[in-house]
Amino acid sequence: MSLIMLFLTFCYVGLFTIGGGMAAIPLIENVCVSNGLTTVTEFYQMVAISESTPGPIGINIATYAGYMSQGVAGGIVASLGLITPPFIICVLLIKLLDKYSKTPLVKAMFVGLRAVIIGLICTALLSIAKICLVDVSLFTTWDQVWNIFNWKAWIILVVIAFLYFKFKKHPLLYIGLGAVLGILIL
Amino acid sequence: MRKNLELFWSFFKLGCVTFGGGLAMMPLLQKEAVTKKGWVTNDDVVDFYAISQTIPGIVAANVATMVGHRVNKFWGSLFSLLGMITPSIIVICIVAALLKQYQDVVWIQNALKGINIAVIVLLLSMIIKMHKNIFDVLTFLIALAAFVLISFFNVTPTLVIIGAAILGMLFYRKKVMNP
Repeated sequence: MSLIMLFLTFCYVGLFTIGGGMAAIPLIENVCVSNGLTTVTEFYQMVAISESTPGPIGINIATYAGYMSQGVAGGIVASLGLITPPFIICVLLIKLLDKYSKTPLVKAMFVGLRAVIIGLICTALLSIAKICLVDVSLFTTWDQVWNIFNWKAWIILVVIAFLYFKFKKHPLLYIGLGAVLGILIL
Repeated sequence: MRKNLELFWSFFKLGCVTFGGGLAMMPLLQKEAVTKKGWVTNDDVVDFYAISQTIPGIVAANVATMVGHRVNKFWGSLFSLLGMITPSIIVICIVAALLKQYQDVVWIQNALKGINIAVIVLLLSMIIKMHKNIFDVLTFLIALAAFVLISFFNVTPTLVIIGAAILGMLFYRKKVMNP
């Protein structure tokens, strides 16, 4: 794929990614596999790596796919393609919002939106907890249901929660602490 | 220009420390853009997140664009967005080139799990901070329905958010006019 085609392909992916980076995964899989950049297995290894490196997952996967096609230039072009259409939409939309933000209808809309975000955070919380606090695959019978809880992880959780709510220091400090405790204890 | 570079740098830092999706970035974004820089309010951040999930694009990137636009219009949004994605590009290109077996390194995986545990605590504190957004039965039901529909029935968040926006417009129009 040429760099221009790569850019346009990821523009298309960006336009049809609605609801966050995860929605981009099947689209990028299609791009990678149908163009022979990766096999399906290799693609899901890429996804796993993209989830465990810093940065938004969608950008990471796009960069990775672009890199597989055209090296560093491909990585840059693919992620720029991914963000271009949403960027234009975002800028237009926020202009509209700033113009109408004082109207009752828009204010009322935000009452609904601010409530729904709490539900969304709970959803994110549950899916992260499934990664690190419980392992459902260890479930055998209800008698031994406690097996699925990763008790070392729960200890870390309690320690970090205690320190966070007691001292309220910068969030980054606790992320670093999590990494260190993870290496030492898990 | 100084403002633009400041935005680029702030989002570059956020891009370096965001693990596991857009919402996981929210507590750090609030610390940086609300508490430290005073660019936007907590409510702005929440609104940007809600809108970002209903329009095309990556949530974290859209939120960066919106915060940047508040601070310095078009150029602010461009610099914020580029700051947000630059760490990804650098890290992925290095990882793709060097570490084919990156995901098999045990201590990296354990560090990431530890980070996830810390993120759980940060998200819990966000929910506590945002409790005032649930102030009656309907707002509680909206939040609960969103959690149940997305987590257990695989409904796409986009639809849930649009539904909440419509409910808000239907039931709170009078209330926001006479608070």
